[in-house]
Amino acid sequence: MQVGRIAVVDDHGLVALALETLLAREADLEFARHDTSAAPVVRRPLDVDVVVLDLQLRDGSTPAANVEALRAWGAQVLVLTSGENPYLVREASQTGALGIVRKSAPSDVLLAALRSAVRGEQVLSTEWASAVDADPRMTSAPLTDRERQVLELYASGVGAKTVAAELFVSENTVNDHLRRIRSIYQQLGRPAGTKVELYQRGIEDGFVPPPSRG
Amino acid sequence: MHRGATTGRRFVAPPGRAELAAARLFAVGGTVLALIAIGLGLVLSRFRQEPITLDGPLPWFFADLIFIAAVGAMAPRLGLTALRMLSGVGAAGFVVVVSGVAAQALHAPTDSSLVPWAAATFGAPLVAALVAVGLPGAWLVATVSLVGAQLVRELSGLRSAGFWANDAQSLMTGLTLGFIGAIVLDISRRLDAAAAERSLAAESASRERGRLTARARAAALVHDEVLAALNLAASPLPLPPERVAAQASRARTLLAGLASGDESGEAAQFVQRIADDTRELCPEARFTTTRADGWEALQLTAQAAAALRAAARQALANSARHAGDGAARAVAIHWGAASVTVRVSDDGAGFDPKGVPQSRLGTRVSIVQRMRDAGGLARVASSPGAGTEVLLGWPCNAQAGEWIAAAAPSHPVTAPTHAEAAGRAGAGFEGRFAGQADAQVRDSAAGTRSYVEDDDGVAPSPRLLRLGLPVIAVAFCATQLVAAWAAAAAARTTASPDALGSTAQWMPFVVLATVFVGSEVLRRGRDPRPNDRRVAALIGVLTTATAVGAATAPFTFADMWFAVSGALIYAALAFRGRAGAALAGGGALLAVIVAAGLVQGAAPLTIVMVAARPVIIVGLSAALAFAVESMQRRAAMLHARALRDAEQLAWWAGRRAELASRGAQVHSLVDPTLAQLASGAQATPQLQRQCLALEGQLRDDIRAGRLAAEPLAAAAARARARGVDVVLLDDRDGPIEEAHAGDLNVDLGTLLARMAAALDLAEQHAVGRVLPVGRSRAVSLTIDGRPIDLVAATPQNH
Repeated sequence: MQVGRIAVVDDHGLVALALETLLAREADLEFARHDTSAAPVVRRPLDVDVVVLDLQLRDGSTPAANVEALRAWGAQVLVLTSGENPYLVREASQTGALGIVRKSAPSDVLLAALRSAVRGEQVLSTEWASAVDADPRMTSAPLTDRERQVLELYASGVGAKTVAAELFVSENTVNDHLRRIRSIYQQLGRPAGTKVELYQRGIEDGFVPPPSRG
Repeated sequence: MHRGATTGRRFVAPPGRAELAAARLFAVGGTVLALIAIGLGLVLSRFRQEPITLDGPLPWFFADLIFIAAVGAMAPRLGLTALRMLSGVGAAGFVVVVSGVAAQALHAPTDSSLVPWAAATFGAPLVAALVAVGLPGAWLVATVSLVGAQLVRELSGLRSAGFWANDAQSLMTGLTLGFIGAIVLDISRRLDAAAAERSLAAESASRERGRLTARARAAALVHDEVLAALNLAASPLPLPPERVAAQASRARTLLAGLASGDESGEAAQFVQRIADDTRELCPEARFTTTRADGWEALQLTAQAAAALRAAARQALANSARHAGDGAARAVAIHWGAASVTVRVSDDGAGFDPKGVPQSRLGTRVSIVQRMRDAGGLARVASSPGAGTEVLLGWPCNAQAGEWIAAAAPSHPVTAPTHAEAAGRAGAGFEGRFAGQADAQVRDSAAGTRSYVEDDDGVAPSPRLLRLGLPVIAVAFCATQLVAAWAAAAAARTTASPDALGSTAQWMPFVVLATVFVGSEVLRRGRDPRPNDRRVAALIGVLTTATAVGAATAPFTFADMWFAVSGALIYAALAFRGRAGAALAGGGALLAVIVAAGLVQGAAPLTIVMVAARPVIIVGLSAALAFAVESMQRRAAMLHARALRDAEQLAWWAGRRAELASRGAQVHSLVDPTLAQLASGAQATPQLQRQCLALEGQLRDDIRAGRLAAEPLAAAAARARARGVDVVLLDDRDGPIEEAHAGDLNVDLGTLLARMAAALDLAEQHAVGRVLPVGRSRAVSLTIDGRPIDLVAATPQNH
């Protein structure tokens, strides 16, 4: 059996330690190493299958740049989020990362995501779907009604199997829909023509929580 | 008015570009006038066959004019102060020469007609005085010039009523153009102030933006730390308790800094570490920290923090080892807006840096090289017996460089204190930009009423208008009366008994009355900017007055005084926003003058002499009125931008305050639990569930929006306490108001209650969402992977 090697890029050594402890129980997954930046990781020869990347690093790097560097290195990337900031999730969704997983997700969810990532499969999560579903730019995206239905259900926490049952289609069809939605979203891009827009993006990337609602 | 107040800082507008440009332009204008006067003087000298002799006063006049012309020629290279001083010398020279000529005439009357002419030719000195000291100076020059000229004529027996008419109109022209020039200079000064205000507002706004970005980032990082601590504490995995305690302790420190709203967690931690190092290595050293304005904007990178700390430790260790017992040591940290600097100094033994062999790498590598590698800079200064000072700065930018350069090279005692450095960094402008003129000036006989009423533009100073307009009004009435009287008197002395002769004696007063009617037509308009009808009436009245006057008066400079009257009223019209109409009226005036000259068979030179002054008055005032309008437009635009910046600043400041208060909320929510974790408390199942619940609540604070309300919030806490993974998301921008097909006519409160009831049945995970606008339902809830029908409030079966 081939063993999937996992590296962690995160500010917190303890997060890596937790993941190492978790992986130690799994025969098919192996903890490779931990670093607080992507740069030192990619300086070595490629020796891992998946890098688990924290969205917010203290080294001043952006998620997009980190994902790009790790993908160029040859590893698959799975992004970890902690605050559910939809702006960051959307930005990560438009990179070449395979998927997004919440740090506080249950262990089985995390392990399933890692196994999918080792196989090179997309990891679709409720976090990803809800952030994309709520993105105002998606209203003008070229999605079919069926795809919109799939996205909304999936974003509401319904698993692919149940979505399939709800819509009387096969689970494979649901996954096909989700993959297409994902690729369309990746192509949406982020308009940043003017300085103001760049700044607004900066604020988003500067991790401002969305305005409070009341 | 909001001007100035919105920036929240006091400042004086420094002399700016617009004022300097206007002053230079005037000085160049003075050169032109001086050269014209010199040329005219030479022509008149030949024409009147009065040669200019070196022993007479005329060379003094010419010398002064040449000086003024030279100052104007140099103006583009002069600063404002130099230009003002040299112009002042030129103007004062003219006043001195005129006074001297008048005094000399008391003893020895002159027979030269050129001397009173030169004394009355005040154009260039008036402009010079305007540049030097403003309106009072300009008016003084005009008055001295004409009083002096008239005195010389009286004393020398050159008196004539014609001179009185001419001088009256000369005086009025000088007063008016001086006033207009003063307004242009004043507006240019205000334009500079508006520009300064705008740049200050922009600077403040961008500083505030930097603060917000920094704080937002700090908040997010702290949030991340806290979530990590709670997450890991709740983890069922066997993690070392001391690692969890350390993470909790770190999160607490950062959160306390964030909640204080004053100290960035990062900065606090860095300062704390250096303080710890100081206590450890040099326990008796004095430890101080200072901060400059805008310090929050600076984010110290982990690498830089590590380098600074390591270099500071090395410096402390060196001092402890080499400075000797009893040396006074000090560590000072200065946190600026763009750099952090650390100074480690002592007054101990010191050493000669040149005497350290190249082979010894200690300081060079451990301090200098280390800082350089981290993108910072370091300087080690020492001399035997004079102590040692190590200055560390990051990043290697202008601010840190300046700070380090400002310190004395080898004598730590004379280095600027950090408080001084901080004061310098934070120092702003002093004083206050004088409040803008709101006052609307109402009336003046000449019709120059409140020509600027645009509240968002720049009005000339009310003081200038208060001082100037009544003087102009009174002077207008007086000089026109004098001119009319003088013309009538001249007609009497030369009167022939024919019809034209007797008409010429009373006609000037008819023309004067018509001119006053014209000024009233302009003055009495309700709108400061006269409408087309009023303008047409005005041009009609003035053209008629000029035509009647020209038909009944001999074609001489003095007898055609009313041409200047009309031109002066058109100048007022130009400054009431109708510069184009003023030019049209001036054109009509010119046509009448030329026609009258041709009809009366006047010499071409005489026609030019009579027409020149009205043409100059109207043309110059129209040009200056255009300039003022354009400056006002620009000032209004600058002001609008400053206002926008101020609004942005307020928004950013508000967001920052919001973040700070949120920091305080989070602190009060999680600190007790973090304290428990930091103390190394055992991970009981109860503590783990508590951490899970808090972690969920923190996430809800950010994303749950309207779902973070009772009874759902309590149900979510209960579910999390059972170990259920609950995610609540509010993905709707805007209110829930329209009816939805799915949960039609069900209000949010009821929906929340139904969600709470369903959530109580959850076993593993639950996702609740407020859906984006335009969906068939307002909310959705999924329990353990199954969607819940909230209208029926029962799980659907599949």
